[in-house]
Amino acid sequence: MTDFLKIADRTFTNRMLLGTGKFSSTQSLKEAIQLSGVEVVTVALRRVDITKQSEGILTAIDRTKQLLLPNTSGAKNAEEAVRLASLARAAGCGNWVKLEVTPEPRYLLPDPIETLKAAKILVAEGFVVLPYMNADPILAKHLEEAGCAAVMPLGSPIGSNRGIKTIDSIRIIIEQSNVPVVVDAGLGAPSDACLAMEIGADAVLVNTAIAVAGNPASMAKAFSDAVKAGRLGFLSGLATKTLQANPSSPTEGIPSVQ
Amino acid sequence: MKIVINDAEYIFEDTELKLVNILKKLDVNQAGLIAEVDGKVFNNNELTEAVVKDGSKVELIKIFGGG
Repeated sequence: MTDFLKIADRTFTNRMLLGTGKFSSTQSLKEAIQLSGVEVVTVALRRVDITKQSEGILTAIDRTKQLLLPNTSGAKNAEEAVRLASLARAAGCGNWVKLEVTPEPRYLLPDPIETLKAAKILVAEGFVVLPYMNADPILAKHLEEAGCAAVMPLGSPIGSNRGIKTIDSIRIIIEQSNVPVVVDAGLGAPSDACLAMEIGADAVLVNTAIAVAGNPASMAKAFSDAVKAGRLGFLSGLATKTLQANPSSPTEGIPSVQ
Repeated sequence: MKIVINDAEYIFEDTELKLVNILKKLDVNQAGLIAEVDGKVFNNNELTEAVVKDGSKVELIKIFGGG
């Protein structure tokens, strides 16, 4: 079955995007990428600590196989997000950007007003913008109308591993969206990723739950498999949920007790 | 001259220096590095063009892991 994920002008066969933060080593990240088969990896831009020599994570990434998706993490407003996106482009990351504007550090929730403002500027500057956003269906439509290539509603706060707490709103976003919906943040177990795909999400982005797992590579594979299972379940047509039982064995012809 | 790199002050005897010479003096790995000097961005291929003067503010930036 041919089932591609299309975002902007790119098509992907793997519907999991992998965040590259928090891995204990570059080798661990490399194994997670290879075993899961992801085709999009997010990265961040940060100041260099000039007192330390670091290997850099790019050695883990095969850019002929994985698209770099730099994020604007750390930006507290639209201006900072645009600056980070421009620096990412200067760093050779291309013109795709995961837009993140998170003004407060405790819950890292995205600022909807500054995110929309930054999205409009970045789209005008030729970026392919994938905004991290609250699971707000109205905001999703505004971001879509602003020219974003996808929307990335949160399941629960970044790195919280709490799963999809916003499921009803995400269902509405999926129902109404004309651009791919990538469920991002908070997916703590493969079952969370599977659920996102079962309800019709186009893709998921996972980082913490994989990076901090006992075995990140096998966890990456588990998530990737769960995404595939969830997608196939969605495409196959899920059965309707009912309150009452519906017998699966024939109700006629039950042998009577002699 | 006194310059600021990533918020830390550095003093050099020269009045003007190429950024790449400073990076060599400080033993900074230039692979994948980009710089912002007084608001102007230099990508990795343009680092040799960057010149630093007294009072310059320099940001040295690289790609790191992130979600």
